[in-house]
Amino acid sequence: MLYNPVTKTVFTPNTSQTANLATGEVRAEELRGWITKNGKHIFIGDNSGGGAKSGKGLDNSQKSDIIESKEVKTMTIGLIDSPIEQKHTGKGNPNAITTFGVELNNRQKQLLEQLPEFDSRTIVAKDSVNMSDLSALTAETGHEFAMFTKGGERLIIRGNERMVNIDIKSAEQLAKEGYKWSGHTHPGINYNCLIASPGDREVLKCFSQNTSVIYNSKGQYLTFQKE
Amino acid sequence: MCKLFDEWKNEIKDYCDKQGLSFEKAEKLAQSWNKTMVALSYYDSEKGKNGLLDETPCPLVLLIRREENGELSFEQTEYTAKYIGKVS
Repeated sequence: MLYNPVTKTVFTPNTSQTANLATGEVRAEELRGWITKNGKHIFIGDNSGGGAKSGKGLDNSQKSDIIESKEVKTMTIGLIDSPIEQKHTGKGNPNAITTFGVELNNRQKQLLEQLPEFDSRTIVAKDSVNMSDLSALTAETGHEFAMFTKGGERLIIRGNERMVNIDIKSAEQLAKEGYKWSGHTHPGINYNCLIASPGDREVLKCFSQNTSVIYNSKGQYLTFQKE
Repeated sequence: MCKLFDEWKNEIKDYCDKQGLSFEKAEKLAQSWNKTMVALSYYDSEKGKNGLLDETPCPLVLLIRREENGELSFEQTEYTAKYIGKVS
């Protein structure tokens, strides 16, 4: 989001909307031009004028370094009726849940209902859940979750703030049943919590795969491997 | 060894040499990675017998990140000198 203090307008690139904070007017625009962000020149819209990364061809003599735009239609609507972020609510996004306290999406809510307490387990279709969903559940609950995959199904196990109820013996059993360890989550928002524990590495040794992943509460991840 | 560490090997070695750290020790550490980052941690194979029931993380020793400007950045931790310091 870009703020122009001169015009008191806020521009949201992913929705292509400009909101005037003084009047409440929201304008939807077709945008095409250069913006300057963090000292870098970025081209928005039709990129026929040059690559977004190159910055070549930029006319530094231009007075406006905020944005140059071509307006196709203007409409005045209330901010409450159509919030700027309406199309991008952040629902279900781990980082948005952690940072702004937004909700889980409906699919994630249904999954969490099936996992009400420590060591709750559920099996769901493989394409109905991914590691980002587990990260969202961790952001919402502060608990660890682990996911194991076999064919077209995934086994999800809820842990608590510090552990998941999988010891070496049960990991060996899951491997014997044909599961792979897709990954698990660690509550937290920094990179330290993405580091595997010795227990994680011992559990990975039980499976035939060489790597697994750890996600934190912001949706960041690191892959770790057998040593 | 993860691909990124292998690709960045020379730069990591240069950094270790300049900082008085042992690259030989660093490359033996446990590695975790994503598309832009490699984390080196100390893994004690004597621990971890309880599986996911004990999630005490391995000590993070060095964080290496490829920044948007193409440069590698390095972040040392309280464990850096202990595990890859040349005098440790």
